[in-house]
Amino acid sequence: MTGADVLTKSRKYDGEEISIKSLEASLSGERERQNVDLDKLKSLRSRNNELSKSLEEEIKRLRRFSDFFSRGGSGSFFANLKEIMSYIPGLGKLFVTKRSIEELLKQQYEISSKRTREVANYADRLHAAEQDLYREIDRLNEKIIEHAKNEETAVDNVLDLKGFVEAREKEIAETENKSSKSYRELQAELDKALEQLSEHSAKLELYSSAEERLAKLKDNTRRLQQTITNLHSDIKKYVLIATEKLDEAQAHIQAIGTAADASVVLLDMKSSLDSMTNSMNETTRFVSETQMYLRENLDSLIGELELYDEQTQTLVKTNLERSKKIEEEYLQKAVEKALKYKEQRNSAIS
Amino acid sequence: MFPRCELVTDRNIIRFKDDVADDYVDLMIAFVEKARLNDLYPSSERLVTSLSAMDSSVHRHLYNKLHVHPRMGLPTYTEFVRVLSDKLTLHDELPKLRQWEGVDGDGIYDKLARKRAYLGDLARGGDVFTEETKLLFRKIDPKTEMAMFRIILDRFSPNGSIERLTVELSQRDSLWGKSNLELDGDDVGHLSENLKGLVYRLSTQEVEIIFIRLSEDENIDVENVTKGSIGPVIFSQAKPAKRYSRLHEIVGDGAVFSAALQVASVEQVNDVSNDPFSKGTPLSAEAREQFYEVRSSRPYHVLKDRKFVSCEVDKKLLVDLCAENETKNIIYEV
Repeated sequence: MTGADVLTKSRKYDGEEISIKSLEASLSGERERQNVDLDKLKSLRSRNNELSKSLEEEIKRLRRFSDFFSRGGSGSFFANLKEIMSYIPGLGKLFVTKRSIEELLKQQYEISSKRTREVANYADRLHAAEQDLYREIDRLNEKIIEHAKNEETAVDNVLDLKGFVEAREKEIAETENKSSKSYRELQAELDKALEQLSEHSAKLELYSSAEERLAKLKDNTRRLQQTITNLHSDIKKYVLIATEKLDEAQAHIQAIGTAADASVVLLDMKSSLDSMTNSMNETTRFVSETQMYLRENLDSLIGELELYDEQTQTLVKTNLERSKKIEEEYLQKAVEKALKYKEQRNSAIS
Repeated sequence: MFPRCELVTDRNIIRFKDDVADDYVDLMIAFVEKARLNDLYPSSERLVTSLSAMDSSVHRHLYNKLHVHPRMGLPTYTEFVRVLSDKLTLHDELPKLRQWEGVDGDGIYDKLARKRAYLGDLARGGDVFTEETKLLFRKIDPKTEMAMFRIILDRFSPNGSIERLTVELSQRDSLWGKSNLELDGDDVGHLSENLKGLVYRLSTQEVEIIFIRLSEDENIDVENVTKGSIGPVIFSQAKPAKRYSRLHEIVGDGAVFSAALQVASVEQVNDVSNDPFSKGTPLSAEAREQFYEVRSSRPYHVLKDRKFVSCEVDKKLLVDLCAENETKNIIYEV
């Protein structure tokens, strides 16, 4: 292979031109995207907290209401009703059966339905967040593959150029006339090849680092996605059960209404409240589990990502230092060469 | 032809699947609009808003079935609560959904886009139908020092119908603010929980019973009790109460919607019974006389009326049915 063939060979890489600066910008962009995902998760976690608190209140109220009715219409019925009423919104000051039981249950049913709807909406948003992360993983995979391919190209280029450099060094060593035109041409080709070798070696390093960094980023995204997938799978199940229980409650309320508030329908009322309690129990359980899950996974993930940030910064810093060192070496070589040239010229004059 | 549906016997509901539910909903909207319901009935605007939200073109197929009360033929209370829950949660939900605005894709992205469109429509729409009790101030009579109020209760009746109960009554001026009715502003107020509970409990009764029971409070004078009821809607797959069996026999593949009005009023000069399915009054003439005496009340009388909206049912059969019951009723057609 002639020098011209090797040195003028097109050595293209896929995607955008990589440099320390572009790698830094790209990784920083990826981190920003991941921060957006984390913010979404943080917002979901905060929603989770809100739901959890309101559901706890709901359950407390329903349980007391249900326990109260399970004691039946004895003396304790009236003794305790005032306290029980205080758990129903707007009824704190009321006493005994001033309000229609049917109306109270409907009010409770509507609150429970609203809560279940809020949770179902939350489940849908979790599902979307999960899909966002799948898309993110796909996108990262594409980039990783691109960088892996470029890394291979860079290896080929480096080996190709390394072989050429070694061949030229050997030829230069074997050339007797160090002032001949052919010697100078060989020297020039060697310099050019060294420059290209340096360029592609740096690229090899950058593509390799980028691939590794993105793979780490992808692992974290995968963990986020797995967390969300588990949550979403549970929540779907719970929403379904909660909805079924609410349907049962509705049937009981219907029966109570039909009996026109007769006191004999306490059993139906109890069943209705129990159904609503079960419904809220299901949703509360999932919300509480979700909370724990998010707490365990999100916090550790954030910690890891912060660590990742440090590693990225270290890498970028190292690369910058290396780059500076290479430039200094080039400069040193150039200075040495210049000094040598000056020395040779001075001795020729004298 | 009335849309196909299935009766789910274990849960005592009629279920319309998504593909035919819209035909049913469209027909219900047409019935409500054609029936020309005045202020004595549940708000037709609110009913149409709620019913429209049950149409798949509005909810964008987010729900795949519609449950209907088998005896009354109207969407169940649960369906109305579903729309109400959507209305109540949309202000929280819509801003959260916006983060996926512009994200294309199938599955959940498509669902969220549909939900965003549905909730957006619901946000721009009017109020949905829900149970509500309102107290409106009418006027003060300077001679008698009586303040006149109107209580309006909209509710889902346990029998599956949708009702508005309107009670017009007076309360002595000196009792304002410490009795059953209290003014919050110029023309609105609130009922004592006692009276509110009583009105709610009584609302399932005939208007005459409500009139008598509310008159038990000596501080108030009841003038009018009106109940406007939506339903039943009779179609072949429905399981209406026995008193509608003749109507059930003649509907064939069509459907008949009805809206009933009951009035017990001191302004009503005679008892009028023009409801083919509800004849007579609960109190005998003797019992009424006793009531007037004890309560020093002006005489009241009861009016009962019903109007129909039919779809693909021979109008003559309907006219004949009314004639059999010695009534002449308004019959609209869609």
